[in-house]
Amino acid sequence: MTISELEAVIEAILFASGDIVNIKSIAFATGEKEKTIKSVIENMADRLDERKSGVQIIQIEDGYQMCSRSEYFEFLKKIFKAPKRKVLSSTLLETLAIIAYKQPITRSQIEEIRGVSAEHSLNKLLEYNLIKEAGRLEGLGKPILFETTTEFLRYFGFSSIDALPENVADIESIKKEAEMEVESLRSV
Amino acid sequence: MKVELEVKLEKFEGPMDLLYSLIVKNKIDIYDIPIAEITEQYLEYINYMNKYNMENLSEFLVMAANLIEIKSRMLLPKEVNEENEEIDPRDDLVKKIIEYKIFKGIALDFNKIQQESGFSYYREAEKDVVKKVKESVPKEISEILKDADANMLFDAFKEVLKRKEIKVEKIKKDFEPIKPDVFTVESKIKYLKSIIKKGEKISFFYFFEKDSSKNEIVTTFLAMLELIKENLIYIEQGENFSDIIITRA
Repeated sequence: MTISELEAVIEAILFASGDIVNIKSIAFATGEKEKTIKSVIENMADRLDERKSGVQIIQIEDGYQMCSRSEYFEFLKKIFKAPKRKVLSSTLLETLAIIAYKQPITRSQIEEIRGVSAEHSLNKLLEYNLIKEAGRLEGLGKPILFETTTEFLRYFGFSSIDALPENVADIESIKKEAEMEVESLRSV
Repeated sequence: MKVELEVKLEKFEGPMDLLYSLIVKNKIDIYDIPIAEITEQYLEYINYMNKYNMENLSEFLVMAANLIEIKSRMLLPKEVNEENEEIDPRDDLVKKIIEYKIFKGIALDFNKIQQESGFSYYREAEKDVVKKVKESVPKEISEILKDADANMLFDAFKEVLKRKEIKVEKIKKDFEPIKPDVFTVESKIKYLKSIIKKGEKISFFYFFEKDSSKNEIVTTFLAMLELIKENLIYIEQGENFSDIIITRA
């Protein structure tokens, strides 16, 4: 099919679906290659952004979803119920940050880093569907492993885990950075 | 570098929180921590906590012991590792502090995002989708119960109780009464859900295999009824009085 036909079909699919549509589904429905679909959607999304359209297309991992542009929230909330905007406390954010960068991770590993009990945070984050249980770790006690969910990605606007701000959670790299700084100061 | 009063008035979440705060307030170089001073200030705070009966004191004590140990190791000649390099007793602590610092930073970034990001509406919030699906798919009682009916279910349940009673009676004669366990319908629902995967079929009697007391059996049965109500499982019976088959919806 032509590009504009493909665009139209994708538009219809994303509209009809309530939820994220996997690119594979779109490929199946249209018979087009994923690579083609990807670039077409990105093009569509850019054009929507350019004219600040009421609708935007976001990417979540291997899928796409249409949603309203946040700029127009104040108008929408007059008609539609404004969902309870949960604001995460710093404790929850810290726990979430650890899970996001170190997933999959167990509760005691999280507690090792934070120095406090993670039970309450984990329960809350599970309740908010920002993390999920993801199997168990082999070994003593077979503790539960935690990972982030697609809801987590959507909440912070990340298209995927790889899109998280540069992974500075690598201690070795931080140390090397610091050492380099010290060296450069010495040589000056 | 005495700890100022402002530190004493703060309530710290945990030992890492306190330790990191001391490091920041004293503008200490993480890579060259003056262990003796930090330990002294840390212990001062612990005493203060103890005096005013603040909670979570025990969590802080482990770190206190750790600091004291590191301090004493610093006084001894440095140990040497396989490559003949000196081991700094502070290394592990430094790693921990840096990692803590990193995640605190990331959490701040996350906070910035959540504060600044606007809100988008999605065409159908998750809850609405589930509701719509439920409403659109007709669930006739006969469809769910598939040739079975409430009476049959009840009969089967009575059978389970009878079987268990025989078992329990036999055991009862040999043991002292034990304090009753508390079973909740919620936990049984979770358990049942985990046992039976989508599309799988399981025998009705299998559900009660592990149950030991009447209390538990009743709770399991209630959980099962709840799952039927939620359209999460279907039940059917082969012939009269034969086992009932449960399928995950």
